[in-house]
Amino acid sequence: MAAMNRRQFLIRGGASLAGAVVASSFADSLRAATRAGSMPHRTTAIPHHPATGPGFPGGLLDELSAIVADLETKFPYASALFIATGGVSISRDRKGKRVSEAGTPTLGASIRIFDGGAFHETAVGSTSPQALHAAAAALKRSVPRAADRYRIERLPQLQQTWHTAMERDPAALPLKDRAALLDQEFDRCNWDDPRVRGVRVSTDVTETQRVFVDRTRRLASVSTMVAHTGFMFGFDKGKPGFGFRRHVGQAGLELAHLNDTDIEKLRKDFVESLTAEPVPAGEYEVVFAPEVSGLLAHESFGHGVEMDQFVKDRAKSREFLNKPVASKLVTLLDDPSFAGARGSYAFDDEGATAQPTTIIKDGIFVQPLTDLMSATFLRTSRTPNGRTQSWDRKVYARMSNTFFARGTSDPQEMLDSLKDGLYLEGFRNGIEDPQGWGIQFTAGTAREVKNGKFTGRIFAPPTITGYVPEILGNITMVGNDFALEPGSCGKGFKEFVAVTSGGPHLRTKAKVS
Amino acid sequence: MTISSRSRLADAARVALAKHKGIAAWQLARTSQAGLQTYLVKTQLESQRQVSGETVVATVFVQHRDKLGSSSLTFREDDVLQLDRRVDDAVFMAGLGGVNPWSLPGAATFPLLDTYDPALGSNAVAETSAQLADAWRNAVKQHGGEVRPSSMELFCGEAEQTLENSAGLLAHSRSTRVSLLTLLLADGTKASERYSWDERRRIADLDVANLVGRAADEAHALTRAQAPPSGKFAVVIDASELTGLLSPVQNNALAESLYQKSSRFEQGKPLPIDTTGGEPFNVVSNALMPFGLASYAFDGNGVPGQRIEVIKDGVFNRPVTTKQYADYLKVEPTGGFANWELPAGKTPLAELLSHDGPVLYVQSFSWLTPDNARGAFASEIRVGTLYNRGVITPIKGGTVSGNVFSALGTAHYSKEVVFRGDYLGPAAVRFEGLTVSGS
Repeated sequence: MAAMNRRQFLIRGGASLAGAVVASSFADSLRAATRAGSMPHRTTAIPHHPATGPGFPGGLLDELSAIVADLETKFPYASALFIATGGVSISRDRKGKRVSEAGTPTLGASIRIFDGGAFHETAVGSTSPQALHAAAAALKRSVPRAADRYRIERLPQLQQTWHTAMERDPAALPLKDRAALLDQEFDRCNWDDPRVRGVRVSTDVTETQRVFVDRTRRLASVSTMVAHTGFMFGFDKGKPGFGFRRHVGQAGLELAHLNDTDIEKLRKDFVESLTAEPVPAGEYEVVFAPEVSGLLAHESFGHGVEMDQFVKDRAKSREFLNKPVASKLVTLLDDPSFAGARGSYAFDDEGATAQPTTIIKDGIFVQPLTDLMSATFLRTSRTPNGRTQSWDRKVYARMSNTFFARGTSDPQEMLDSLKDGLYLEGFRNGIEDPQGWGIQFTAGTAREVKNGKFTGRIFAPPTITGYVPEILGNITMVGNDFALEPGSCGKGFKEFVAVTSGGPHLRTKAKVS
Repeated sequence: MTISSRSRLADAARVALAKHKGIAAWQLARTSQAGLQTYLVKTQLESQRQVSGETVVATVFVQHRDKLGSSSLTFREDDVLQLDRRVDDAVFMAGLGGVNPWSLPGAATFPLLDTYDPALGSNAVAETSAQLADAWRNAVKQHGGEVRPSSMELFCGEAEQTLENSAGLLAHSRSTRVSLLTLLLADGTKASERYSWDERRRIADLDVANLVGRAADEAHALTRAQAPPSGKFAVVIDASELTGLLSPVQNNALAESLYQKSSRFEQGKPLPIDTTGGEPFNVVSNALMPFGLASYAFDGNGVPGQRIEVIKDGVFNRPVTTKQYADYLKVEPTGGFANWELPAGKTPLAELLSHDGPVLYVQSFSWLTPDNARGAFASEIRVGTLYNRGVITPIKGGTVSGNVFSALGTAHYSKEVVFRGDYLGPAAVRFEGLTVSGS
């Protein structure tokens, strides 16, 4: 229900995809922390679910387990997923300050059965036992048992709860103090330069509670995500410019700080972007910064190997399983177990626990990403990539943290090797073409490089297009560095989930316009 | 799966808000939704989902010194017994911030809008969904010689919204929506696919056979597609891409952008467009368009929906403004940006596509995301057709780049008009001298 459509996305779009993230409120813990001086356990952040009692997940696990057991008296498989998000956003600009819920809070449960040939679900925005049981009963009543065409693979028994590891728990710091810290942060970022028209600093802290239950699994997690952003815009002689820095991850308030280097970079990016020109369209020798490498990873052999596209005959990569698709220097992974990253999770929305998947190894495509549907219909083993935007949306095969593995080249040597080319950095957006293997992604800026040196010429925004096997096949150097960039990923133009993408610097050839 | 027009939660929230002494003003928005989602793989059912939910969001405003603090909180059904405490939370948070004061709109008369199709209401949605899925299967079958189905997603549902505030406003609306994703595959010299996503408010506006037919024709043509030639030449852009292309215009026309000093537009002055032979540029934001996806009887703060001439003959006539920014700029509020309405041009589409040299018709970009401040854009061509001295060539790949503001100075609009959910206007617009990078 809360999907951001393409138009909304365009209007909200800016320097990053991170604006699409779901977010919200856990005012109860804040209230308790700020007024009574107590420090409530963060699992009570979205409190008072009749089904869960005072502690999460509490009785909700038993309630959903009972529903699953009852549904499996008729159907070969049943499962239940509960998701709730809540959070607080504090933002400050030159016009004022606002402390409120972050984004659109959600809470609800999805109950799913497999009738032998297809999945059927009911999703309700409630945790009341009456509502859940009524929805499950209606589902059981309305769906006939079908002939067994497929068999669901059962995962091993597991019962576990996970929490985000953090150094500075947001619940431990009174909201008033957090707001005051943001004021200080704003004062540090604000810049008395006549070209600057606006400066904005914000901290969003969101918490997501999830429960997954089927016959073999009783899983729960509470994850805390912090997004701390500094943004500057202005004009010089009618030309607009921007600077943007952010720290995003599953962690505590240790992320909510821009250091002096960040602020210096924010101002430098703003000033440089005022001089940016359109890119002269053409094919260039390029070096990608890690965040641009990540866009390539994500749009090429991320979306291109989501296995629901195999079921739909939509993925060209299916013809290339166990065949070369990239330079031998290329190894590419998806890893939801990556500690603290925005795209990480302990278990996917179908109960598979997180572990890394090697998609390309030494240039060979070895493993696609599955959801339960694609693994079942194609009779293959599962990877932990079944994800949904929210309780009221369908689960699909999705990426988590997708990146190129480190190589051996020094990034400076990679830059030195460019005789006449572009250094691309910054992260805007990209779109997949799993069937045609075309690719389009847009970086923040392109810097002209001649004989290994920046000339000072800057182009923005550069859009990279091309044919996936060509770009991957032309990779001649892979950096020994590594970074992940946070973003939000849509399936087509909807179904947004939190991801990261990245890797090391890459040197290749690409069409830039 | 039904929507109830009564809400125990909203009733209790109203009482809690009204009695809190620390609140200068409040707003309560309730949205109730129900729908059915149907997913086909090829033509077989993959999954079907029933979805329902209710959201109640309270926004409180508190006055402190010369500032107005505000905070929103979403109430859940299990908040009913603790609403006083939740409202306390919102007041506390609102008190930590503050912006220049503005006032909520009061009671008003709202337009009666056509936004609801009973066929998509809760009582009929199952039957309607089944009929639409069958219509899709039949349409795909009709084109069986050219294409085969990959998948379909169909979302049908209704929403009901009630907005009230402490200034005496009470508004109610209901609407329906149908969304159809079509994925077709074609085999030939090159394997190809066509992805199409279409949304409407009523079934009568969703011509499934026509949408599938168009997607099938394009998928089939793409099997022979090639990259375009490189150069600067005329590019005709289809209506389906125009709202994306014009997003920098929308962004700069918002009162919020003027207030934040991020807009390049000045009210009453020509847009920063170098007119070089193009037709005058006109934009209307129309909240009253029958069955428009972006139509509304009232916006998020309760400003009645209106039809606003935003750009008139290339001049920035009036900003699109919510109540908050209208108060700041001391202008009348218009409500948020609604459906795009562009006047028809004078030239038939066929004539826009004819030229001595090449003309590239782009039916679909991979993803057109112009830079809202600069107006710069570059996007890969997902589906295109090259017209060159009587030779017609399907195009895929390569990019079109340029600047929206420069391009508008050369624009010629088609005489034919189409409705695309949140857009009513020319079927296509021709721009001169855009950069095409292809073979």
